[in-house]
Amino acid sequence: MSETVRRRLGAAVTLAALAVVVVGLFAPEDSDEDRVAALATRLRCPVCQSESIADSGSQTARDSERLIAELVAEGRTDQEIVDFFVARYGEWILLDPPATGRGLLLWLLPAAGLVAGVGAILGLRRRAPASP
Amino acid sequence: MTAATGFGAIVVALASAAALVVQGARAQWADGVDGTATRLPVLGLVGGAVLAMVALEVALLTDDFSIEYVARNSSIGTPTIFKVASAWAALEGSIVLWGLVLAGFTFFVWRSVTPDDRLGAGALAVMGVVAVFFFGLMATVANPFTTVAAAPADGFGANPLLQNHILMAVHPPMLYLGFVGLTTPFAFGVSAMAIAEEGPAWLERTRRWTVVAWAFLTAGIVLGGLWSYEVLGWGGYWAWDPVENASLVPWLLATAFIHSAVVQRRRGMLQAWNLALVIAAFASTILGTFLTRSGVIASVHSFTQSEVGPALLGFFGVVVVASFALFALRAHLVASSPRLESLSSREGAFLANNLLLTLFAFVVLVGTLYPILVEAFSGDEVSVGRPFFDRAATPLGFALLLAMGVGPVAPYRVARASVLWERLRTPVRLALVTGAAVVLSGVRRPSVIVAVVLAAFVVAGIGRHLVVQAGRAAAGSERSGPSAAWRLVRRDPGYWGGQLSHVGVAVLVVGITVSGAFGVEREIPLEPGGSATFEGYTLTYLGPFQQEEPNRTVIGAGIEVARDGRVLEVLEPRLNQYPNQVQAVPTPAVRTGLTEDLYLSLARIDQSGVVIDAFHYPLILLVWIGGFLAAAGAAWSVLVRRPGRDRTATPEAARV
Repeated sequence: MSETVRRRLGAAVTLAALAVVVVGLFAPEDSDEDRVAALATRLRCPVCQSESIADSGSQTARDSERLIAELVAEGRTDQEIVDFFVARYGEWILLDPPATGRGLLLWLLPAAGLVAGVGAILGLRRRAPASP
Repeated sequence: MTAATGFGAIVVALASAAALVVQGARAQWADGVDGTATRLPVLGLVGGAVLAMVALEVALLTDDFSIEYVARNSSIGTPTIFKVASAWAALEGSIVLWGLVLAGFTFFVWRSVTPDDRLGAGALAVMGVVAVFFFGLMATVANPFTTVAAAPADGFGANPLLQNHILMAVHPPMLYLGFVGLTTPFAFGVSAMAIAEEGPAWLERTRRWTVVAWAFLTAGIVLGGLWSYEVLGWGGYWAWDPVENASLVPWLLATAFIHSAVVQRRRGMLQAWNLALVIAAFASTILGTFLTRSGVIASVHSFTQSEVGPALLGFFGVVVVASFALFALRAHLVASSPRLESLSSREGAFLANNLLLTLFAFVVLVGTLYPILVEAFSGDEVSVGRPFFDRAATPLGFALLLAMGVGPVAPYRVARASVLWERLRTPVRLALVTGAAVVLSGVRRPSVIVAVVLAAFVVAGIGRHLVVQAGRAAAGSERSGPSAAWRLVRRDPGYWGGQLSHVGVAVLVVGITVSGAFGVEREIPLEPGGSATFEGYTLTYLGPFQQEEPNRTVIGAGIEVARDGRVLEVLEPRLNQYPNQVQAVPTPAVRTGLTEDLYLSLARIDQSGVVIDAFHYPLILLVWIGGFLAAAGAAWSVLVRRPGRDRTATPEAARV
């Protein structure tokens, strides 16, 4: 096998593998069970200290998980289910505060950190003298 | 008698620490440095710290219940091993351990100090200040030797969580060795600023200790996760609990520092940044201790509440304000002029690494403190938990893996695209082929696919680098390939130890992602003799059992595990009832395999049957293997001595 053929073959294999990976990435499955599990990690167990419904072994958490499963089976959207729990327990129930009002800080601070960091690195580049 | 001896030892250590501050500072500022002036204070500090610990152990082992700490944390029936471990299982004792470890590190620093060594003398003074604080705590608000007028006949007993698993005796000392170890680079950094000393001397002298601290911190965190998994029975190992976060933030900052220190040593850049990082890393250990030990956050780990909290918070404030004030005054004097030639270079990868790690630490810190601050200022209760941290950790972790794959093979100064591609072509190809294989096997979770591709990229890149380097070395000599590779890895333990840690992190990420994405939990009620199928296993409830142990009553269920009609073993998840706690502590039964774990936790048990919490986790073993590989890489880099004559020669891998 000549060098050219081998190189082309290598490139073809790489591209084919890349195509398969990309297709795999954009064809996610999302079953009802996954949705219940995802929602259960987003909501706090009402009677525990800092555990989610998914993590807690308490009876209340079990009941809440069952309730989520029922709501999912009824065809409610994620947002409706989250709103249902917020109406019942208050915003405290959310382990992931929404990016509105006060909760916006939680999003803005990391974003500001990222911008500052990237800015500092680019500044380092600009101040650098030309290579000798 | 024991109490008086112990308290006397604390006073001696406190006085010695104060003398060390004075003598260290004098030695730093005097014209002729007297190397012996610090000897007595250091020996006093070490002697006092050791004696205090010994006295505490003697008190625990002799059941001296006239000492409040012993009465609260031990009892006659407590097994000896847990009496020993009770010395650091509660607040006051844990500070004694902290003081002992700090005295140990101070001793090693002192041994490295030579006459006319202003940098080292200053570092001793800084360590003295830290020691004054901790021994001051022991002498006042956290006195482990407080006595009670009427000694009770028996003690309350050791913490059930401690008694439940031996890991709880090992995990805190590991973490402490890591936390306290970060005092050494901090002390040298502050000392360098105080005398405005330029150059990387402070880094060179603390490199080994930083890596040692990092290894212990890594091992401590992994052991903590293992403990949580093996003991708490909730099926997980990491909950983004504030106390876990408190150990992760120093780890992230120390990791960033280890990498940026390389840039300064190799290229003279980032001097000021390194100083800021060591200050932040040290301050975060104090903040973490405050969060853990003050009970400010209601969390499963915060067993204790006391007035130590305000003292730790005050010390944290002093450390931050004083260090950064010094930094503002002096950093420009010691700072190097940045000479970044191109972002596409090894330096560029290190900068990306530092940006990602510090951002990661910042996000974890913000998420941890946010509920406390909101509650403090508005009284409202809010929660920040796993979804928030996962969403931040996932992209940051993946970006770190990418930098980890590119950085170690990128040349310093300028990495031309053609050179980079030459080195990365094979790893990229192998990573994509691995990813395609995973997709074709039916996996559709984006997080798993990305994690596998990136981890394969990192591991393949390291493997390729080793093979190419070894091949080159072998070509120039009569050595075989493997022998040349072994020689290479021994010749440059810093570089290759680091690469071993990288492999560990890649393995860890695959373990976390796969076990997280494909983990299954189910609640299974079983009557005596009844069976249920779960993830290909058949679980049969054989019956309950009960046994009395000296320190607890154990109630358990025998669950026969079978697969394809073949009985594999009988798992015995238990509930342990301790006399000093109403709620039973579970001990889950875990069947650990190379490819998957079956995890059974006993949720309820009575005459009519049991309720089992069953978990199935694929590849979770990789979490522990990866974590310990990461720590082992650090151990390799400090323990292995370069063989042969050319100890000072520039190692090969660093020059590529």
